[in-house]
Amino acid sequence: MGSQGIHSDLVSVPQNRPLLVALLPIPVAFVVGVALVGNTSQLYFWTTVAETVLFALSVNLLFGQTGMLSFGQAAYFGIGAYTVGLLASHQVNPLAMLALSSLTGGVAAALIGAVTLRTTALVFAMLTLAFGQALYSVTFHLQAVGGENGIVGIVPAGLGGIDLGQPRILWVFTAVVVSIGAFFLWMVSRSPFGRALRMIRDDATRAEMLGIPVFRYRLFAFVLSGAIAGLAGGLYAFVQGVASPDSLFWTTSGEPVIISLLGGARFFYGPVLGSVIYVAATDTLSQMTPAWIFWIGLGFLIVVLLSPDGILGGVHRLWLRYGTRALDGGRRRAR
Amino acid sequence: MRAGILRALGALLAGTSLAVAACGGVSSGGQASKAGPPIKLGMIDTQSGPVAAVGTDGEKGARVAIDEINKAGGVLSRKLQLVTEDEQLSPTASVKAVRDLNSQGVNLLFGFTSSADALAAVPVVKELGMTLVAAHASATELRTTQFVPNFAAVADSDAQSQSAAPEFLRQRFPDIHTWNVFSYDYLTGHQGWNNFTAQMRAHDSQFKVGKEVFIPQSATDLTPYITSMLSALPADSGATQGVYVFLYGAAEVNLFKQGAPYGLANRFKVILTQGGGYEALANTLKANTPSSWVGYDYSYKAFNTARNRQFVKDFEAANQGTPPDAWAEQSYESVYLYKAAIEKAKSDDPAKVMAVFGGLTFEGTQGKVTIQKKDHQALVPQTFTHFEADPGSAQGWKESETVVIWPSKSS
Amino acid sequence: MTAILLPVVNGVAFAMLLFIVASGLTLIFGVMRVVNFAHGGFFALGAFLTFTLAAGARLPMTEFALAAVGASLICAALGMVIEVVVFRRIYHLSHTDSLLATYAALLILQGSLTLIWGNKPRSQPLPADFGHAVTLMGVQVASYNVLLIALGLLVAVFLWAVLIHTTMGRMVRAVASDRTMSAALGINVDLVFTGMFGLGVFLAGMGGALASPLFQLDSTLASTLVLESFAVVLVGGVGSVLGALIAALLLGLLNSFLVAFDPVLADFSLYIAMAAVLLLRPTGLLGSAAMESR
Repeated sequence: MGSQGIHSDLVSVPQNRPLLVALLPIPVAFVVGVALVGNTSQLYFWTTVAETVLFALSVNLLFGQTGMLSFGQAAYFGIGAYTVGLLASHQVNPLAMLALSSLTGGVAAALIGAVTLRTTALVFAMLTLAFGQALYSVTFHLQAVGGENGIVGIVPAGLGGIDLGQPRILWVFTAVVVSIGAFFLWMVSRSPFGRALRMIRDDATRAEMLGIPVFRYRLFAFVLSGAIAGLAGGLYAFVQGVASPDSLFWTTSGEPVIISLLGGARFFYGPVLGSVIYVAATDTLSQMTPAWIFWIGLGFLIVVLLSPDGILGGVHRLWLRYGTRALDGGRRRAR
Repeated sequence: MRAGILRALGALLAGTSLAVAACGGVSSGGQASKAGPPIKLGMIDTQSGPVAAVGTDGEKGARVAIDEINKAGGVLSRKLQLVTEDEQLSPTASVKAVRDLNSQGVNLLFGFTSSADALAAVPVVKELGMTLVAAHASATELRTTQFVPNFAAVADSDAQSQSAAPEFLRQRFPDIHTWNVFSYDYLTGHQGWNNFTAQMRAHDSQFKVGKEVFIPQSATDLTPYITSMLSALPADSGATQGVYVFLYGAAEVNLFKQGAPYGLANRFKVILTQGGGYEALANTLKANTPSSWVGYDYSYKAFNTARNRQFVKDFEAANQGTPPDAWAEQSYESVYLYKAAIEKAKSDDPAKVMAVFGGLTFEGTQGKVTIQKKDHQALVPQTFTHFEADPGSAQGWKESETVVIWPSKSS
Repeated sequence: MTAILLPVVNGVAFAMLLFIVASGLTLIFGVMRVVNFAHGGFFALGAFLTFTLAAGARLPMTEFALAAVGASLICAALGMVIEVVVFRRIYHLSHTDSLLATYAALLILQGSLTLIWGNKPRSQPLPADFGHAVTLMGVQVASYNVLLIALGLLVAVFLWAVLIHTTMGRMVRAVASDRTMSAALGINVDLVFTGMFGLGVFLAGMGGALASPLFQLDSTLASTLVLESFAVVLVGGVGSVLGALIAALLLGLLNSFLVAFDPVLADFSLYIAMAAVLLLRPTGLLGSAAMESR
C-alpha cells in the first residue's frame, strides 16, 4: 500500500510548473471560444459540465484523496442550491449568494461530519447517506422551500450592471467560479495537508502513528468538501434555475462518485474528464433511446474491464509503458 | 435526435457559421411571414421511466392531430412538424430540453407530465421568449403564483378538478357524506385533500371527514397504511362511506394490489381516484381493476362532437384499433390550440402567439373550448368514468359509465 | 391488543421479504467483499421473469411457485455468468473502486428491463388461494404475508444449516476469512466465489419473485429496496445472516409501528434506525470489527 501512496502522489500532483503555465492559455481560449461561438444549447451544455466538474472535484477531495466514500454529498450540494433559491428573490449580490451557499454547505458538513466521522468505510457511507436522505424527505414537508416542487424560476441578480441571466455571461461567470474553486482544491491537494490526506487514505493507522491528527484532518476535508459542494449547488441553482428535492437525493450523491471513478478517482483531473464524458454521454444517449441507461452501463463496464482505475488510470499506465520509455528511458528502472 | 457530444464538439470546432446560427436562434420567429417552411411544435414529455405511457401515448395523439391538419392544408399554408424531447421526470432534464429546442429554433412547446418539471421549465420559456401549453401538468401554481403570459393549459388544474369532484359526487352519490382519504404526505397531497374537503363542505352540510391516511413518497410497503385505514372504518363503511384517492403511478397501483387481500375496495361504497389519470390503474391491474371512479379530463366515449368522432376514428386507424386515452387527447388538443392561436395571430412568432392565448376559442374534442383571459386555462370539462374488471374481455376491464361535469365560468 | 399485534404482523411480513433480499447481499458482501449495487437489478429481474413465466395470470400456488423458482434460477445463472466475466476481475480492487463495475451492472440490468419489457408497467396477480386475509389472534393478515413470513424463516434456517453444518459451508467460511490460506489448503476459491455469488443472486431473484404480486412492475423496481437492503446488511453486521435477519425485523417493525403511532416520523424510520445502531455499534449488531474495516 505504501508504495502505491507515493506513486499516486506523483501522478495526482503535477510537478512541472512551467509546463502548467504554458498550458494555461488552452482553458482560457476554450472558455472564450465557447462564449463567442456557442449557441444557447452548447453554452448550456458546457455550463452544466462546469458546474458538475466542481461538484465532482469536491466529492473527490474526500473520495479519491482522503479515501472516504460519502454517499451524502448531495445534502451540501442541495443546501447550497436551496440557499441561492431562497435568496434569489431578494436581489442579493450573486457573489454573496454563492459565498453563503458555500458557508451553509460547510456548516452542515461540519455538523453532520462531527457525528458521522466516528465511523469509517461503508458505515460512514451509509450514515452520510442516511443524513442526506433525511434532509431530502424534510423538503417534501416544508412549505417554505416549495415542498416537492422545490424553488423554481431562480434568476441571478445582476452583478454590477452585468446580466448573469444571459447564457454567454452565465457561462463565463460559471467557468471563472469553477476555475477558482478547482484551483483552490488543487492547491489543497498539493499542500502538506493534501499529502497528509493521501497518507490517511493509504494507511490511516500509519498516518496516526506519524503524528497526523486523523480525525481532525478528515473532518477538515469533509467540511471543505461540503463547502465546495455547497458552492457547486449554488451554481447549479443559477444554471438550472431550480432548487428541487432531486438535488438532495442519494443518486445525486452517487453521480460525482461514479464520475470520479470513470475519469480516475486517484487523479486530480479524473473528475474533470469524467464530468465531460458523463454529461455528454447521458445527454446524447437519453435523446436516442428510452433504454439509454443500458448503454451507459455498457460503456462503464467497458471502461472498468479495460482500466479498473478509470480512464486516466489507463492513460497513465500506457504512459508509463510507452511514453516514459521514449522520454527518459533508463531513469525509471533505476528507481 | 441530434447528438449532444457532437453539439459539444461543435462549440469547439465551428467558426463564424455557428455564431450566425446562434444569433438566428434567438429570433427564429422572424421567418414567420414567409409561407413554406414547416412550423415546428416541440413536445417535451416523459418517454422513459415508469410513467412513459403519458408521453408515448401523448405523442401518438399529437401525431394524429398533425396528420389531420397537414392533410387539410396545414396552418397558414405551412405544414406542422413535431420535434420531441424526453422530460425524464426531472426538472433539470426539462430545463435542458427547453433550451435544446430553443437552439433548434423550436419555440412553440407543449407537453409535461410532471407539474414540478413544468414549474421549472416555465421561467426558462419566459426568459427565451417561447410559449408552453401544459398538456398534462395540473399544478394550480402554474395558473396562479407562477403564471406567465407565455403559458396556457389544456390540462385541468388541480383546483378545477377538485371542485368538479364534489359536484359530481353530489349528483351521483348524494347519500355518501363521510369521506376518507389516501393521499401523498407532501404539500400537493395535503392541498388536494384540503381543496376537496372545502368544496365538499360547500356542497353538503352533512359532510364528514373520516380517516385520513397520508403516504410518504418513499414508502414501498403500503400494508401498514392500508391496515391503519381499515382499522378506523366502521363495519358498515362498504355501504355508507367513500374514499378519495389522490395518488398516482406505482403508489396508486400498489395501494390496490396490497389492499386486495384485505378487501380494501369493498370497504367503500365509492372509490374516487383523481391523481394519476385515466386508465393508468386499469391498464396495469387489468382483470384485477377495482370497481372505481376516475376523475380526469377526457374519456373517448363521453363526447359526441364532430372533432371527437374524427379523433377517435383517426387514432384507432393509426394505432391498430386502440382507442385514445386522455394523455393522447390532451396532446391532440394542445396541437389544435396552437393551430387556432397561430391562425388568429397570423404568425408563428411566439410573442404574437402568446398575445392571442387569452380569450382564444377553438373546436376541441369536447366541443367549443375557450382559453380564460386571467390564467390562460382552457375551460374543459371533467369526466368521471366508472371502471370495473371485465375478466372476459381482452383488456380485462371496461368503462361502464361516464359523467361529464362542465366547469362553472367563474372558476 | 390488536393495536400492538397488527403492526407486529405487518412489520414482520415486510421484514421477511427484506431479509430474503438482504441475506443474498450480505453473503456476497461477506465472502467476496464486493458492494454489489447490481443486487437491486437482479431483484427487479426476478420479479419481471416471474411475471413472464406466469404469463401475468392468477395461477394456482404450485404453478406460481414453479414460475418463482424458475425466475430465481435464471437470475442465479445470469449472476454466475456475470461473476465469471466481470466481477472476478474486480475482486482485487477496494470496496470503493469496485463500485463502478457493480453500478455498471445495475444500469445494464435496469436498462434491459426497458429493452425487454418496454415502458408500460405490468402487474402480476397474487397466486390463487392467497388472495384473501386470514384472522390470527383477532388480527386480519393477508395470507400471502403469512406465506412470506414462513418462507423468510425457511430461508434463514436453510442458510444457517448450510453455512454452519456442511462441508461446503465450512469451505465458504474459510474462503471468507482468508482466501489465500484457503487456496493453499486446496479449496477451489474461484468455484466457491461463483457458487456463493449464484446463491446470493438467487436470493435476490427470489425476493423479486415473491415481491412481484405486491408491487407494480416497472424499471424503478431495481432501486426499490436498495437502500433498505444495504441498511439491513450494515445494521446486521456485514456477512452475518443472523444479523441481517435481526436487522430486517428491527427495520420492519420500527416502520410499521411508526406508521401506526406516529406517521410523520415513519418517513424517517430507516434513517433513524441506521443512525441509532451504526453510531452506537459501527460494526453492526452481529458484525466483527475485522469484516467492517476492510
